[in-house]
This record gives sequence, structure tokens and C-alpha cells, in this order.
Amino acid sequence: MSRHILTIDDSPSMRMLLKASLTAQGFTVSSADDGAQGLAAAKAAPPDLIITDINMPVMDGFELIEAARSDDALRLLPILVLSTEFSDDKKARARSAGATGWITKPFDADKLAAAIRRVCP
Amino acid sequence: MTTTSDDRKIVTFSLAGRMFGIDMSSLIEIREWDEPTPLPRVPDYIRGVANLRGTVIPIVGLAERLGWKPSEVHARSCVLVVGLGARQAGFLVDEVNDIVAIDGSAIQPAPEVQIAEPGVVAGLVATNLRGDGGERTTMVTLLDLDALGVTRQLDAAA
Amino acid sequence: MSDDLDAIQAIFFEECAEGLVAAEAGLSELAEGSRDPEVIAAVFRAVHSIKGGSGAFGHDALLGFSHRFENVLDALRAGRLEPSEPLLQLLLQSSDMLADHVAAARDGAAAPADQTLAAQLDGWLDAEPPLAADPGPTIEEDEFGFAPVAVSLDDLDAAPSLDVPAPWQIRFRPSAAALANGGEALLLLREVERLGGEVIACDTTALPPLEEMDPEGAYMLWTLSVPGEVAEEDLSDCFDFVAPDSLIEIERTDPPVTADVPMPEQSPASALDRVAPSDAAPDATTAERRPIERSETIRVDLGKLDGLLNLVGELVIRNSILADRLGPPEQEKVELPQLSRLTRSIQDMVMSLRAQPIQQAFSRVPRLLRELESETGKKVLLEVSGEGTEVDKRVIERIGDPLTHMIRNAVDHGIEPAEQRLAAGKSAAGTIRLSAQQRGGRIVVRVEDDGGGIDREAVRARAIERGLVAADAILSDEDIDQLICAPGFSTAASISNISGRGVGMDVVRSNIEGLGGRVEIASEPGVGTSFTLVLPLTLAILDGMVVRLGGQRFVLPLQSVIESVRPEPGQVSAPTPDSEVMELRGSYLPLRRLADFFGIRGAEKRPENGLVIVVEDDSAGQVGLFVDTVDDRREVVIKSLDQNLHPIRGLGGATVLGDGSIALILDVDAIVGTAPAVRQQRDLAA
Repeated sequence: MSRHILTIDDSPSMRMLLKASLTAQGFTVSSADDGAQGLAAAKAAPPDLIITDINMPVMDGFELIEAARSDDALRLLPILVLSTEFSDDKKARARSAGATGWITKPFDADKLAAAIRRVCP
Repeated sequence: MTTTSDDRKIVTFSLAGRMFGIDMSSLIEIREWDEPTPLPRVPDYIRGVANLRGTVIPIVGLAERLGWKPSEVHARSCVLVVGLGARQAGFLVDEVNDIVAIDGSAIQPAPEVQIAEPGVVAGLVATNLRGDGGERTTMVTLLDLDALGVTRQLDAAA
Repeated sequence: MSDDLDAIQAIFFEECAEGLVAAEAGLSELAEGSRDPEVIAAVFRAVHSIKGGSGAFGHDALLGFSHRFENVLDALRAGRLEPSEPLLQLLLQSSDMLADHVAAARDGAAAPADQTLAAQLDGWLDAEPPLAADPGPTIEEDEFGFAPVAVSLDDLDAAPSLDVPAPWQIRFRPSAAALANGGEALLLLREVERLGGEVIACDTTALPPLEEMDPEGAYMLWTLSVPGEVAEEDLSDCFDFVAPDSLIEIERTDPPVTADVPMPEQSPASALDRVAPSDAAPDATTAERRPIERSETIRVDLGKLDGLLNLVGELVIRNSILADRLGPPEQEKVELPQLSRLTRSIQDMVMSLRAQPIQQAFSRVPRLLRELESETGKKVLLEVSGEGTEVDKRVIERIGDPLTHMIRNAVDHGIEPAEQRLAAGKSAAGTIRLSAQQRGGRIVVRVEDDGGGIDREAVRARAIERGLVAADAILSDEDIDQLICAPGFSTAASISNISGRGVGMDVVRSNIEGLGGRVEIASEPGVGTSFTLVLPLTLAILDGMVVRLGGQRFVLPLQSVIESVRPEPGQVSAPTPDSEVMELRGSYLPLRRLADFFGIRGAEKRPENGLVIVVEDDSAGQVGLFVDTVDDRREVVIKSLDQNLHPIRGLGGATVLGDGSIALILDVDAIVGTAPAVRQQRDLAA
């Protein structure tokens, strides 16, 4: 059974790109438009991994991660941030919110795969 | 079989004793004559409107539009439904003859033949058509229906 | 696979289009004085999204510009910059430039020259370092922090072997925090192994007895050896994110690395202390988020919606046929009313899918006026009403250019220069009123100005000069007004500045006619001019009353109908030879004989043998319409007449009745309208 990744990004084209890349790597992919939807989806059916953007309306990536970390079911779920940002303080913020890893956009398939391997068994 | 570079298909039909043709690409369908719903306050050549699969299209008496006396409707009368750009209209003709392929380069210009507005006559071409007594070469006048300008604003006077 | 990529990229460009609209709308709001942080955030997100995708799809010029743009927006939303007028103007221009970049990226054309704007954007960020040409992130080179540990590896100073790079030695102890973030040390170790390394030791001295152990605690310290050929960045990539919280050292060591690597002098406890999770206070993310109105959306192919709409129309017609063929008791039995209600609900919902507020087309106008103001020096105020009116998406797409052109016309030719206006007793600033409303199956969009009106003498003179009319032709005011729209009237010389496309009013008119509509012009010298676009609703269902005139059926929109009356003898009288009135409860109603209006023969002549339908119209008040009989009331699907023919005065469309026959829909406004003169538009080309 393939592993399930939940992707959260408010850009439909980005979600589609990710889905194409991840599906090609053998994952099952579901997606959400913003942090709130993503949180709800994750609670309803916890995935094996969450890949999330930071800048989203309604609930941004940081808030999502914090919310996930305070939920029992999602506390230890690997969460990767996928964002165009790359500054240290953004990363530090993600880290303290509880992110497991960070990939920068634009990503290439190999780097994405490696990043996933590092956090998802 | 090699095809010439400018093969065109035309639909030929007779109207007021002459043979005409229009480009097949604009033809949507050929319908039997059915009395259309009359429209008030329109020029005489618009005989009414009809229902084409949910769209309301005008039915034009082509003879009147070209300045001749109205066609008499008989058993073989047909309506050619054509697409003119984004619009559709039906034209009443006497009889549909055939669909033939012609070579675009064989079309001769016909500047002296003026019917209605300029541009209506797209050219003349000689082609083999079936008629009484077998096939024979006939001069077909090609029409550009779009140039008839049925669709330009022509509010009839009250 | 590249087909998929193309499809995804196409979606990206659609997103860009939406993002550009959102950005411009937000910036316009800010320019008008709003300081709502959510507006700023929305603009930032829009540009941020465009930047993100542009990188993914390899559009470098777009990426570069959007990155600069985003940086300034970031500074704005973080409060580092004030939303001053010059900054907002720059941002509005930048959103324009961004749109050009998107278009160039989408069409594969050369990127626009943005150096001036880019430099200006950079100028606002002089506190921040100037951007490199390629703002692409260089994450691989990031320094990672690590807790310094006293290590004694004397061989560090030894000269490395020149043939084979010295292997790496990695010491790694994740912190509890790193593990709390869902991380698993095992995965990282495996990754290192994947790169060719191996675990050579594991220090478990820090492990407490089982019963005291916190299953989520971090106690193990691993030592790994990795072949020297592996690039350092690959290794640092591995540990990058967990590094600040954990113990990680990556160093070259001299070969051979023995299995017994001396452990550093440090007690596990102190090591743990040192790598205690940093308590960097996170930015307040618990700040209250203002609820944002955001609708969930889904992309749908417009062609599919068209198809759906047609099917719904057919469904309504089928309902009609059923109603026709079943008598009332049977209708009850098959629960036909419920079916009709259901059909109506489906129709409403499908209609709403395609309908969008016309605001989308209006949103470009404020900025257009700003540009025009700087071009012409004329200040113009804008009044907008009815922007929430919903119209078909296609209409929005196609009405944009005509609107732009008409507004330009109004400012260029309509509104007089300030001094002239003041001299005429008007306010110095001109006003343009932009409005939209839905009226019985049509959408009416109007652009009105309070300028000097159409100079009819000049128009007539130019038309004669261009050979559009004979020098001695007799033309009514309306004829002259319509000349503006005649092909050949405007030339390149008279068209100011519309990207060289030569858009004249004739193109506007043919655009509108192509949508099935028409353009009406009204003007009064010294007072102003109005251009009215009348467009059909693509599909609408009308509650109508089927009436008969001379045997032919027509449909009267029910919304206008007040009541129907069978006149008594003597109730109808003719005060003048060409007018009639009907007395009704003490007042006199003007009467219109529809059969006469339409020139229909064979209709009922005597009032007491027919019916008078009393209708109410905005401008004319209550009027009586005389018909032969009334059939029934039914819902009909409006089919456009304008689309394939041309507008006919007095008709608002047609419909297909249950038996397949066509009934014409009456346009009450036009029939009762008090303007008696029928506008004549002769074909002026010949």
C-alpha cells in the first residue's frame, strides 16, 4: 500500500505539480487549499506526511503546523514545509512551530524525494 | 491519390432558374421547408424564425434578398442552414442539387455579375453536375452569404 | 508527461490572471485610502503565488520582477514601509508591469523592459541589500548552526591526501525538540547510508534505565563515516533542518578512520543541556485572524457549462410539453408542480454558475481614469452603480475593451477642459457615471458623462468627408449619433493611444453585436452624452403570460403585468385621432394596440372582444396593452433573437413552446416607451 501525502497550497497549479511529481514517485496524494482545510483533512484521515506552503489565506503554514502539533493524532506526524522563502528566521519559525523539514521552491524531483525520505519512513 | 492543394467542397443549389453554390464549410444542415413563425417589423425577405435545436434562427428568402421575386415553395424546396461567423441563419432555395468538390484555383472572378451588395458573388466555377440527362458541365455562381449582411442592424421603419 | 505539464502550466497562467486582478483591486483600494491589513496581505499573497509558480515553470524574467515586487509588498505588510501615495502609484504601475511579464511568459514573447520600475522598487528597499540577478534560493549553501563541542581531532591539521578526498566524520545527536517535530533519527541515518556512509558507533551512555526513559527523549549519539567523494552540501542538506536544535558535526578526517573514534569529553547530561531546544519565542501567531471572506472555487470548462445550460433549457421545455399534454388533475397526479419547481431550482443554480458580478469588468476603470488624468490633465470623478449585477462570464470577457474605449472617448472628447467647464457653470472636475442593471432578460450597461455632448456638426462634416453620407442627406440627431459607430468613421489619427490597435466605435459596436446586443447613443449639447450597451442574458427563464394576436402567440413577461381586464363597451375611448385610453377605476390608462404596433393582420379590433393587459413600466407608468386572448401563464426559456438576427424593437427575444413552435417575447419597455420616434439606422456603407 502506498504512502499517503497531504499537500497544502493555495495555488492550484502548484498542487497539481506536486501531485504529478509525488504520484510518479509512488505516493498517494490528497490536497487542500489552505491551512484550515488541511488541518481538517489531516484530522479526519491522518496521512503519512504533510507537505505545506507557508503563505496561504485563512490559516497559514505556521499556524497549521502549530495546530497539528497540539493535536494528539498529528503530534508526531512528519510535516515538510515547501515554500519559496528561504530566510533563516522563517525556517527558525517553522522549526519552533514544529516543522520536521523544509524544502525550497522551485524544487526538483530528486531533492523532493530526498527530503521526503528524511522525514517519512 | 494526391489531392490538389486547394480542394474545396461546395453545395450547389438552384434558385430562380440559376445554379449557385456555397462553401460546404459554412453549411450546418439542410432542412425541409417548414413555415416559419413570422416576425413583425422586419424586411420582407426575412420570412420568419425557426427553431434549430433550441436556437432561434431567421429564415431568409434568398430570392427576395437578392432582389428577385419570392421563391414559390414546393415539394423540393429546402432551407440551407448556414453558420456566418458566430451567427446562424436559414436560406430558402428552390432545390438542392449536390455536394461537389472543386479546385479552388479553377474559380474565376466575376466582377460584372452584381447581385445585391458587393462581395456577394465570390466567383464563378465550371463543374460537372448531375442534371436531367446525366452529368454535364455547368457554370455555378459561388455566393458569399456573409456578405449579404443579413445580420447588420437594419431596424425596419414602423 | 509534458502534456500534463502544459495543462498544469495553463492553469498556472489562469491563476496568474486571477492574482493580477486581485492585486490590482487591492492596490486600488489602498490608493483610495483603505489601510486594511487584510487587503495588503491579499495583494502580497497574489504576487507571492505568481512568483512561486514562475520559478517552478522556469520563467526567469517573470520570477525576477515578481520577486522584487514581492519584497516591497512584504516590507509594506510588515510595516517597514508606509503606504504613501508615491509608493502606491509605483505599486500600481508594477502590477501593470507584472501583467505584461505574465503575458510575455505565457505567449513566449520577449520579456518587457522593466529596468526602470525594478530600480524604483529596489530604491524603496534601500535598507535591504540589492537583489542579485538570480534571486533563486541557494539553500544548499546555507550555514547550519550547531552547538559547538570541544573535540580533539589532532589530525585536522594534517595535509589531506591529494588522491582521494578524506572521508567525512559525522557526529549526530538529535535533540528532543527535533524528535518532537515528527523527526526520526533513523531516517536521517538511512539517508546518510544512502549516500554511501555507515554508522560506525553509537554512544548509548546517556540512555537511562528503561523505566525512567522518556520514549520521546533523545539519548543517542551516533558517529558515522562517509566517503570523501560525497559533497559536503549533500550531507548538510540531510541535517540542515534539524541542525539548530541538535548536535551535528561534519568534518573531514584523515583516513583511515578506525572503528574506535574517541568520544568527546563531555557528559551526556551537559551535551543535552547544550542542545536544549532553543526557546526562540515564535512570532505571535496567535494574533486574531480577521475572518476573511473567501469562496472555495473550482475550475470548470466554460464549454461544459454551456452544454449544461442548454440541457437545462431543454428540461424546461420538456416540462412545458408535459404541462401541455396533461390536464390539471393528471398534473397533480404526477406531481408536475414539484417537478417544475425542481427544474427551476436547477436552472437558477446553473445560471448562477456562469454569472459573475460585472464588477470584474468595471474594476479596471478607476485606474484607467487615473492614467487618463495624467495623460490629458482632466480630472474625472467616477460614480459606479449596479456593479453587483451578475452577467454571463463571456460578457465580462468581451465587454472590457468596449468599456475601455468608451471611457477613453468620454474623457478625450466628452469632458471639456476645466476652464471651459467652469466658464459653462459646471464643476471643474467631470463626472462619469458607470452603471449596470438587469431589465427583463437584458443587461443594460451605461457610460454617461457630463461633458459637452456630441458635436453633431463636426460628426456630420467628417462623415461627409469620409463619404459615409451624401453632402445633402437629411439626418436626424440620432442618425448623426450613430454615425460615430459606422465603419470608416474613425481613423488612426483620431484614435488616441489605444496600443495602436485602431479600435474605433465601429469595433465596439461589432463587439457588442457579436454578443447579441446593441449600442444606443443619446446626447445633449452642453449637458453630456451617454452610451448604453444592451446585452441579452444568455439563458434566462421568464415567467410569462402567453397571449394571442391574430392567431400568433406572444409572451408577455409577468413581472410587468398588473392585471388583465375585459373592457366593457364604452370603457375605451379615443381622446385624439391617434390615441386611445381606457377608463379604469376612475383614472385613464393609455392604451396600445399591440397588433397595430407590430403590423399584425387579423387581430381583434373591438375592445370588448379582446383583453386589456395592464402593465407597469418605469418611465411610462401604467399602460394597457390590447390583445386578442390570453392563453395561459407559463415559464419559458428566453432565446435570443439578437444573436442570429438583429434587435427588433418591441421584442425581447423568442421562446420555444411545448409543441415546438416559436412565440415571440414582448419587450414592454420598448412598446410603451414614450419616445415615439423610431431610430433608423440605414446601412450607410453604400
